[in-house]
Amino acid sequence: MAQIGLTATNPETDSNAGIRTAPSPPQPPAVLPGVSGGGRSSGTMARNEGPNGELANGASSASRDGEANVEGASNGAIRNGLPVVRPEVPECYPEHSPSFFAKQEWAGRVTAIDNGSFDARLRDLTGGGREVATIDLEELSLEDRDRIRIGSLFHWVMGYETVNGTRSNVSRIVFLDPPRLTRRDLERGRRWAEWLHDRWGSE
Amino acid sequence: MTAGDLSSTPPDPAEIEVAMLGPGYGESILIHTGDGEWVVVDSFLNPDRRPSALAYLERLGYDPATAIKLIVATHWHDDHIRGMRTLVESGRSARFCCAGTLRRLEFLGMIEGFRAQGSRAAGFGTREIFSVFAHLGQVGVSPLWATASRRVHRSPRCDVWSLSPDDEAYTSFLKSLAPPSDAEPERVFSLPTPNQLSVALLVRFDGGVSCLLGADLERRGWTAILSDDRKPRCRSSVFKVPHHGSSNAHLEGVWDELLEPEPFAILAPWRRGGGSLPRKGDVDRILAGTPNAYATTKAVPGAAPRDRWVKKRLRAVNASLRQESGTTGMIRLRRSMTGESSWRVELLGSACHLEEFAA
Repeated sequence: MAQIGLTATNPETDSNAGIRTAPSPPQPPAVLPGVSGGGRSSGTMARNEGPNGELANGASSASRDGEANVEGASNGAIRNGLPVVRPEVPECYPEHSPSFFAKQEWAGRVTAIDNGSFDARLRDLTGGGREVATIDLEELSLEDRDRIRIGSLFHWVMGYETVNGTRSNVSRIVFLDPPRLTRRDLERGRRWAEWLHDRWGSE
Repeated sequence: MTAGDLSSTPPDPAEIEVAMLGPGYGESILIHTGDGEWVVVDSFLNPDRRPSALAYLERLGYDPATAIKLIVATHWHDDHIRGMRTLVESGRSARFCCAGTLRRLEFLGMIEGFRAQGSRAAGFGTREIFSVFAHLGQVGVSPLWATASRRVHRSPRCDVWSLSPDDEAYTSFLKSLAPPSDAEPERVFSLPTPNQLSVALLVRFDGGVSCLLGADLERRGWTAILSDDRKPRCRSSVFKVPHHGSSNAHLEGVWDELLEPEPFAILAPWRRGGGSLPRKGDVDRILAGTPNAYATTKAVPGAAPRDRWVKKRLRAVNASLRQESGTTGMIRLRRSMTGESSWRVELLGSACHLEEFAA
């Protein structure tokens, strides 16, 4: 049975971050708990965190192009310079449960939203390869229809669900949270921006 | 095919080259300004995750550290900026140029905030531009800030002007960066669309030849350029068609006032989401403007082979999927800087005449 993965990343180890060598800018702020890798799916998400704040159940790794990616990595491993974290799993798909069998999974990113549908770039997590898709907004919960934005990341799974002996077909899209910045985030960001201006001078 | 497989004959020192590379999602333009000096506009990654522009220059036998004199990030959309940090690090004698609007503390603070959160939803392009700025902060070199009608580069045989973004785009951008209010201590950001902040470029050579590179600038931005009296007065014989040929970036006045008759129009198609650019109407419109129109790749619709059950479910949820092509093509234009000559066109890899785009 395939596991369902969402992605979280640790910017402290992001090889692209690149601001930790001298001359040192203000220290990058810590990752805000509950923001990176957070997810939503019609209110059915379960959040299981390990002792270090890592998310439990399933396995994922961070791909460089901003899409959720399930590669069967183990917890604590490093892949592509990024720590592998354990993603959260919707309650409706409990790990090792015989009630759900995933036939097809994609990781996706919304690229456009139109009347009644949205466009997305997909990574096929079952067969490999990349695709693009147009998907009806009706596939989303009412809450997600209000919150979907260009750039939203999601995990899309199709499979069989068996409840009380009755098997049904399931297509479920699970969104990660959209970016949120607090005033505190922006104030910290501004300190970095001011450091940059100092380095660049008045040109 | 990757850029590394493309033809490896370098231009003569007194020859202009305009090379446009694109795999169907992503584009990069290289301009030989003479004497082995190059300008690189935008970046995408080859399948080996090497910036295509670097791979191409190395294939021609150049050292990017000395050959590249100017690197321009027209805007921070994923398809224009992947690999930009590596490109900037490798082009050690080059200045980096981007829209002057990005110098604002509000924008820099916002991209740092997203980076600190590790927010993937903010997009790869935001992280890449952050990474470029972080590098330039470390080395203490300021970007060149592009604005309307500003000369951003001068080489012995040519100069490069930025034609945008204009003041109105700047103001609109600032409004989109308004911080959360007291009543809204946490705010969900919709990142401002960078197309209107795109840096359109004019490259003018001493012999009178010029090239207009339209980035992803949309119609409103072109209207501002046409009404700007400060811009250099010339007509270009090469036109990088803006925004992948999209109708929302087309303005008849650009063809009438800024281009020579029947210019060489080049574009990189865009395939992502449920649609692709250019559409058929766009192709027809561009071909009506010039017979000399080329694309870096052909349109490649189609669906991946898939399990029957999944196909049935896809139909049930009314979703349509197509394969994404990663084949890189290159349009290469060359001509002498001196004397009477016209552009020679080479189509390499999957590049094609625009008439063949949807064939």
